[in-house]
Amino acid sequence: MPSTTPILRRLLRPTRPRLSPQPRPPRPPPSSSSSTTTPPHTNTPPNGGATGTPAPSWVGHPLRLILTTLKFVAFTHLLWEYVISMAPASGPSMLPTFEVLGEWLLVSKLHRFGRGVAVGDVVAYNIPINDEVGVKRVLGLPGDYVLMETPADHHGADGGVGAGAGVGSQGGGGGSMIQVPKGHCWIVGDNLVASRDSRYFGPVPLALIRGKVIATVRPFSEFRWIDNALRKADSPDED
Amino acid sequence: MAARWAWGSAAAGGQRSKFLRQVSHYLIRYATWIPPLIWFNAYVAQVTFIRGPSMYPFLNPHYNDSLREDLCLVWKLYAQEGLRRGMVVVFRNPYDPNKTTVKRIVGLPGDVVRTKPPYPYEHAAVPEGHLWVEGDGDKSQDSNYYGPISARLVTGRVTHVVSPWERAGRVRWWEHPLRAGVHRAA
Amino acid sequence: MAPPCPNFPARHLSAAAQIGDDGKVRKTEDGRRIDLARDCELFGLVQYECIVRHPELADSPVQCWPVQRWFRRCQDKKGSFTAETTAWEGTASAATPAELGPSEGQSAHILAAASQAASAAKSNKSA
Repeated sequence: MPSTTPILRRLLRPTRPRLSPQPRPPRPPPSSSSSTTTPPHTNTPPNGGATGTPAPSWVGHPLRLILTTLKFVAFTHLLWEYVISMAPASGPSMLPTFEVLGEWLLVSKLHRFGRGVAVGDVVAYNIPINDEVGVKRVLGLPGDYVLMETPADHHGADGGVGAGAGVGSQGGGGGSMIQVPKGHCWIVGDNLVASRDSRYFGPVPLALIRGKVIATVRPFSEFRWIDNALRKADSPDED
Repeated sequence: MAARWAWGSAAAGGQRSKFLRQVSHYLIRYATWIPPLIWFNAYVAQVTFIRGPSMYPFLNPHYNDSLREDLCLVWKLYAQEGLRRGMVVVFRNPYDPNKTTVKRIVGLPGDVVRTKPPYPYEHAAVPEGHLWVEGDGDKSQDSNYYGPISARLVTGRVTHVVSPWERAGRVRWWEHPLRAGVHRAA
Repeated sequence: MAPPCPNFPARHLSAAAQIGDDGKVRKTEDGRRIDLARDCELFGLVQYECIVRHPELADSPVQCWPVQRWFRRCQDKKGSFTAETTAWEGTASAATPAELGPSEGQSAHILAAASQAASAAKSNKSA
C-alpha cells in the first residue's frame, strides 16, 4: 500500500484557492522538492498547492479531476431539477398557445409540487398514467370547482362562432362539476379537441407537477413569456 | 456570504485573517460535497426513519411501547420500474405533496381490489399506471382513503432495515403473503 | 382518477360551493355564507378548439375557435378559491333578484368578450 499514500496525501492536500485576490508570485525552485515531502498541514493554502506541474492543482490527479467533474455534474443537475430547466415540447394539445413543433419551454422548478401555481398558469407535469411529461393549463386547485367535461360546444351546436357564444344561450346549467380534492389540481389543454388531460384521467396530484412554464423559446428566433390566461372581467354589480 | 466576507478580510492581511482564510477555505472545500450528497440522497439511496404505525407490525413493531423508530434504507434508483405486489414503497402523499408515505403494494394495474372502509365502493379497479397501496397495520391512511395512486408518485423502495440490529437485514417482500380479496390481472 | 370524489350537476354549484375541501362550511370574513354572484369576482379564460388543416405538413395552417370559460374567485376565511361558472352564469341560480337589471348588461359584456376572443382567434389563424 505504500503507493497509495502519496495519492491520498495529494487528495487531502488543500486545493489552491480559486478566489485568491493577488496574483501568485513565481515559485522559488528549491521549495518544490521539499513541498512534496512535507506533510500537508504545514503547507499554507495559497502557496502549498503547487507541485512541479504548471496546471492548477484541482486538475492535478485524474481521480481528483473525476471528483471535481462529479461535483459539478451533481450541482448542475440539482439546478436543473430544482431551479430551472428547458425542454422541447411538441403536440397539438396546447394550440394555439404553443405550436405543434419546435417549441422549447423554460420551466421554473421553483413551482414544483404546484408551489405558487395559480388558476390559469401553464405547468409541466408527470402524466399519472404513463411515463411521459405533459404541458397543460391549470383550471383548478385544491378546493376549487371545475367542469368535468368540455364546456358546451359553440361552433358546432350554435352554428357559428360568436353567434350564440353568450353565456345565456348555453345556460340551463348543463354539465357535471367536481370539487378538486385536496392535494390535487385540474389541468386541461388549451386545444380542447386534441388534449388528453384531467377530463380523461381526473385530478392530478400536485406532487406530479414538475414546474411552471414561464417562457417559450424558439432557438435564434423567438422568446416569449407565458403569462396567466385568467383575465379579470368587470362584474356588473360592482359599478 | 460568510466565506466571501472572510476572503475579503483575508486580503487585508494579519494573523487572524490568515486563520479565517484557512477556515473559510476548508468550509468551501467541504461545501462542494453538499450537491453530490443531496443528489445521491435524492436519486440513488437514502437512509431514513419510518414514522408512525401504518406498517405495524412489519416496521415499528414497538410502536405501542417505545418511541424508537426503525431506520431503513430506501433505494431510489429506477424506483418506478418493475413494481410488484408485496413491495414496500415510499411515495409522495397524493393529499400533500410535501409528505412522503410508506406503504405496501397490494394491487397492480388491471387488478380488482376488494376495498376496506372508508372507501365508498366495495370493489375498485386499479387503472393503468396506478397502484393500490395499503399499510400492514390497522391505523393506516392508504388507498382505502385516497384511492389508487399513480406509480409516478413512487420515489423509492424500502430494501433494508438498518436499525434495530435484531431485525436488520434485507426486506423480504416476496415472502410476505399477498392480501386476500385481490383479483389479479396477471 | 385518484381519490373517489362525487360530482354534481353545474346548476347545484351555488350549494356545492358552500363546502370547502376539508368538508367544512365556508364562511366569509364577516361570517356570512358564500354568494357566488355577490362575493366573488368574475374572471374569464379563453381556451380553443383548433384544427390542424394539413397535419402532414410541418407548417400547416391552424384554425381555432375560442371557447370562453368563466371563473369566479371568492374569498373565504381560509383564503381564496375559484369556481368555474361557465355553465352556471346566466342560469336561474345565478340571477338573484337584486341583479336582474344589470345581468342584461353582463350578458352584453360577455358577448363583447366572446367576439373579441373570436377576432383574436382569427388573427391566430393566419399565424
